[in-house]
Amino acid sequence: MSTIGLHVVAPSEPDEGSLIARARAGERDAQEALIGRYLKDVYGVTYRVLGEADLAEDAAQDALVNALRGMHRFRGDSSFRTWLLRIALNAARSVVRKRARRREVALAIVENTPNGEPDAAKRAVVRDEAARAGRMVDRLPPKQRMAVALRVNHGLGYAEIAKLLDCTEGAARVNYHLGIKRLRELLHEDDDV
Amino acid sequence: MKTMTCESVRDLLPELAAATLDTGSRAAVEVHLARCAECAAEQALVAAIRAAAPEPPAGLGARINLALDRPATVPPRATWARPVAIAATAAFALLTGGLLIRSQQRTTDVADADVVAAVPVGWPAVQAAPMLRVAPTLHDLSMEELESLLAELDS
Repeated sequence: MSTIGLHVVAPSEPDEGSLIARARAGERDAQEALIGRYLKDVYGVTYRVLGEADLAEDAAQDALVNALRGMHRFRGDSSFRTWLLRIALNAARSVVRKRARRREVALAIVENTPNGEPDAAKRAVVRDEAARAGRMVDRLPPKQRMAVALRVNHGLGYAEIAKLLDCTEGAARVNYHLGIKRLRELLHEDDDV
Repeated sequence: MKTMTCESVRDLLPELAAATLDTGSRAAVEVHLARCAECAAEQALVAAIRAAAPEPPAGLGARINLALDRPATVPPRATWARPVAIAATAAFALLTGGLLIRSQQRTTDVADADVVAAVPVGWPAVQAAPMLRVAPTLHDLSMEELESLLAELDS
């Protein structure tokens, strides 16, 4: 992550191991606890891929239900969170493929802007900087969008992002920085309008 | 305190926004941000992106818990698909079994000659014949084995 050897404090995850073991044994309270802990992460990923709340909700549900029913497949090769985010990504991609096959949505949903150009009325309503930034993230190309979201919203390092996006660590880093650069350009353009 | 480059500072902005940097690193980053307008602008952007993280709708967690309580469902199949699959399985099993028997008979023709030569005259032929390993028919398969065969054929 850092090239100068600075330390990053890992977020504390008390009882993660025992929660996973209990959830794997089918204990519902442990499964509920894991849902509570990771729902925002999972939904965040499906939303960033799909760009529509309803679709993201369905994909997040599929991902968590499948993950918790298939806990025996978690071998501990990566963190549980990374394993879960991969399942979320796959669930979202599956939705895209199905919809593309049914021609309801062109594959452009993930290749281009999900929401199209913001019109003047929307711009007038959305004053908040965070909402504006979120809207701009949706306009990034998919690889940059996912690299930015996984890095900033989910706090993943480049190595984990690379595993999730099936690319090299260098490519993950480049996509993140290109995405940030593009976002700054988009925000400047938006300011000028 | 170590002086940081813009590149190394920008790599740590997500951790600064998430408040997961240790005290020393955070201080070094903040010193840099105080005198670098470009990195400070990027820091504001990263903080805004973090604040814009999509929130799951209320009730989604409860719906997922309900879904977990329901038994897992097998994807529905067309009503005509099962009889067709069973017929295909039967045809496959009969064909495979027949081929195996023919193949076995050919190989045992030669062996039979030796066996017959070694058998005392008068012994029933069935005792002299080597045991045939015949492929199981559909009647020999349990429902589980049949399901497994169907799954294999489907894949």
